[in-house]
Formats: sequence, structure tokens, C-alpha cells
Amino acid sequence: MIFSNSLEYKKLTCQLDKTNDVITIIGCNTCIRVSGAGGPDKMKELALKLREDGYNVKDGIMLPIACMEPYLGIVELSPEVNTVVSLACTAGVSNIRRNYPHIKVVETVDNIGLIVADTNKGVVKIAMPYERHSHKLGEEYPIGSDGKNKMEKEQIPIEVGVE
Amino acid sequence: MIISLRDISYEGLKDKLTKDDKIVLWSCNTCIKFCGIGGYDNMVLLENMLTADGYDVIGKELVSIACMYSLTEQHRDNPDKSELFEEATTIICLACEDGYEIAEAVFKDKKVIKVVKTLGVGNFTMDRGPVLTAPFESTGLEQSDEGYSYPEIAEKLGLYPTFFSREEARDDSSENLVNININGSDYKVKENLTIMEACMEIGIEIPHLCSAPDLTPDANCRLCLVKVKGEKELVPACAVSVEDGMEIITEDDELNHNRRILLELELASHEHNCLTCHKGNPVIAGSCELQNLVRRFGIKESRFEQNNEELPIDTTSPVLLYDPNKCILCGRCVRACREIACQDNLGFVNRGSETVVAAGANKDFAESPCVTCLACVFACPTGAITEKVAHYTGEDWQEELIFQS
Repeated sequence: MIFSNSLEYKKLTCQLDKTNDVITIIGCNTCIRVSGAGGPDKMKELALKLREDGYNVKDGIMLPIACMEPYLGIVELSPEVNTVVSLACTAGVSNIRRNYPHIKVVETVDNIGLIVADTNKGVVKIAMPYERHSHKLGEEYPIGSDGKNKMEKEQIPIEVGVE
Repeated sequence: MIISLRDISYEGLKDKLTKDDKIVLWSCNTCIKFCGIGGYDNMVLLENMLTADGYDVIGKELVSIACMYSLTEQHRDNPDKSELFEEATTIICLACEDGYEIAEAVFKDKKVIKVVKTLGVGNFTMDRGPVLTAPFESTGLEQSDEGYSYPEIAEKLGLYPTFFSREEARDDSSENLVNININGSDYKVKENLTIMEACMEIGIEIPHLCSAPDLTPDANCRLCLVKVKGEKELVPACAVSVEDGMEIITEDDELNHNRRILLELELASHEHNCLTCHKGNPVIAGSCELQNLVRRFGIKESRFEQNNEELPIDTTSPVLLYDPNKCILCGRCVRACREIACQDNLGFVNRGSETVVAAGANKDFAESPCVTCLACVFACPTGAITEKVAHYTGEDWQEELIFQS
């Protein structure tokens, strides 16, 4: 699974225009939901906050897996929409950008790397981070915590870092 | 999805094995399947290759998501599989390196062999298949929305763009064959195949709904009943193995009449209106198999009394919809949850016409211990369990479900 953490809200809003942007949020319901940076609840939270702050969020679409092109084929954007806020990992963002080349696509998360999960314990462990996050190798977090509340004691007893 | 490419040749794999190894093939059914490496079919292919070359493959295990540690432990600790994993000395892991790390930890006492290099994340595209869009820095590739195709990556990084090829193993096509006759024609097929598997290899399609190659046969839909000379009753092709000299009829007026009746009974059992079905045009999880059969048999309507009772649709899961009105009680989801997800979260409740599939202790999906691995979604042959696609709009961000068509 892919681990993503939310970018700061300001990093998102600085790319949006209150006057001209008509926004659809496209979300992914897989890894990013487990990470805690996405999913239906996060999408609602983000949409209502953006609206409260004066942005024109028209609607949202939650896909089962945003990095798979066939699912994106289900999406029908309203003609007035000119901006997509992507609540998906980098792979989902690339998929959206490639399929909507005429639309501004704004990212909301940073890909940390690959994780393993234990659904019984409700924990994820960073197993293969991107180099820029290599210091996070082996860190564990509660499922859905968005990279917060790092666990002190090892929960998933596996050695990470394949040679 | 996680992008991995094969990094070992078939000869290289054999170098890691001995003829004394008791091998279990361990295959993930998620990202790596769409990378053309994991899933059920590749596992069977590798089993055939290794067996032909004289290696002892004692079992194979399909895992819904191999990067879930708890799920891997549950597979290992499954009482039905304890003998298999006790006997095994070697696990060949058709999973990404994430899944490999778990397999290595869970099967500490065994030799665990990985066959891929995991390179980052990417997309499954309609025209180019899997592409790598966000590579790990160690690959030396830049991030690209367009993505790197498999042939491109394989050339740049010295990897293999496809799975092992059957031609790389010894040809055993003349060994262990039995002679059978199907619909008046003679064939030689491998022993130990079911009648349905043998027919599939030959290219004869037997109608079925409850059977799937990656699940144990249950023979409950009765659509695959065929005639076997010398047998008093019709036999289920999905559950009976071929024997030397077997004479089989897969299709005639009587069998097709039975199949039409069974399909009409399915249609009458609940509201199977395609207009209200979430399994629209084929997407990742495939198209409706019931609709395909109804069309194949030219059925326009059911002659039986229609059950118009409307059962409530369960929309509580974050990832799937369960519409019992579209359920044909084939049990594929139940078996997928037990065998591929190793969760046993689904089962039948009630009796007779009241029977339905239920999650957990007959609760909503959201209240059950569902791990949202989608094994049931991929197993369901109708629109009973489908991926959830939702549209949110209005002041209160109201959810409205989208039909996949």
C-alpha cells in the first residue's frame, strides 16, 4: 500500500483562485483512506472548509481506486469545472492530469512511500520510503492517522528495507 | 498502484531451488496482478512450468492483499492450510517487495524467494497497461505523469517486461494425459483436471455462475451439469475430474432446457433489472455473468412468478455496495472472503427463500470486521457486490451513488 500524508492547507489554497476556479474534488478510496489523508470523511471535511473560506467547490467524486484509468472513465465533470483538487496519491494525480490535460489539477498529499498494514492492530509501517523520506523507514502509525501519533513500540514485527 | 517488474529469469529462479524443495506459490491478487505478475493465472502457469521441470509444487495460495501482515498471518494459521504450510520448505512470492518482506517475516523457517523489483507507484492505463509515474529515486527515473511503459522500464533498468513464458520450461504435453470424448469428438487432456477445466483448455465453454478458477468448486448453481456416459445422474462439470475413456455431453436440448429454467428461476427470485444495477459496463471487476448467460440463452423474460420483495441495499461500507436483490446465492463472495482474504466475514443466513449473504454477525458491512480488500467484489458474478463510486454535492455534501456505465 502507498502511504501519503496531507500537505499543509495553505500549500493547497495558494494554488487556488477564489474568483475563477470552479472545483471538483476527485478522491481515492484505497491506500489514501488507510493512510488517513483521504477517503469520504476527509473529502467532506476539505470541501466544507474550502467553501467556508470562499472557494467555489461544486462537487466531489469518490473513486474506488484513482490510479486505475478505467475508473476515471466513470467520472463526468460538469462543463463549468476548471479545477480538480485531487485527494489521491501522486499516482492518482498523474492519472487525472493525463486524462484531463485542459484542467488545473491540484495535489493535496505528499507520497511518503510504501507501507505494510496490520488491520487487526490498526497499524501501518513504512517499509519502502522515497529517498527524501528515508529517515521514516520502519516508522509505525495508527491506520488513518495521516502520519501523526507515531508509535513508540514496534507493532508489526518485520524487518523492512529489502536488499 | 505499486509498480513492480520481474527481476529474475526462469533459469535464475530454478538456480534458487532444489528438487527436494516442497514449494508453495504465494500470489497477491492486487497491484501485482495488474503488473502481469501475480494473480491466479500466473500462479498456475508457474506451477505448470516448475512441475514440468520436476520440481515439487505442493500448493498454491492466492492472497487478496499481500502487504497486510495480519492477513498473511491468517493465511498461514488457517487450519485448512496448516498441513500445507508445515510441509512447505520454500515459498515463491509473486508479490511486490512490500508483500515479500511480510512473507519473509511470517514464514521465517522457510526459504522465501522474491521474483520482482518494486520501482515505485503508477497507473493501470487502458492503452499501455501498467505504467510507472512516481519512481523511487534509486531507479534514476524522473517523475512523469505520462508514465514509463513496461518495455521502456525493462530496457532502461535491465528487468523483464513480462511474466515467465511457458516455453522456458520442459514440454510435458505428452505426459499424464487421459483420453476423453466430448460431444462426439476425441481429445487428450491432462489428468486431474475437472471436466470444466478440460473443456476450457479445449475451448468448449460450459455455462456456470458459482464456479471460478481461483475458488474451490461448490457446484451449487447447477448450470454446469453435463451428461457422462455410465452415470445415472447429471454431473457438475466444475467438481468432477476427467477420467480416461470418459464420454461427456456438455450441450444438448435437455441440458440447455435445464439451464434456461435455472436462469429463469434466478431472474424470478429477485429484481434483476439491469437498469438499477451498479455493475454496468465492464470495468476492473468484469461484467455481469448472469446477464451474459441470459443473453446467450436468448431469455427475454422468466416464466416463473416474480418475487417483488425489495431487500434493503447496504451502502455502509466505504468501498463497496451490497445489493441482495441482485444476489444469486452462488457463494463466490463467501468463498473468496474465506479462501482469498482468509477473513470468513461473509456467510449465508436464514433458510430457503429467505437465505441471504450477510457480513459479520449479520450486521451492516461497516459494522463487520471487513478489511475492505475487495476479494468479494472481484468474485461476484452479478451486481450484488460492486465497488462504490459516489458523487457528493449540495450544501451538506450529500452522497449519491453513481452507476458504473
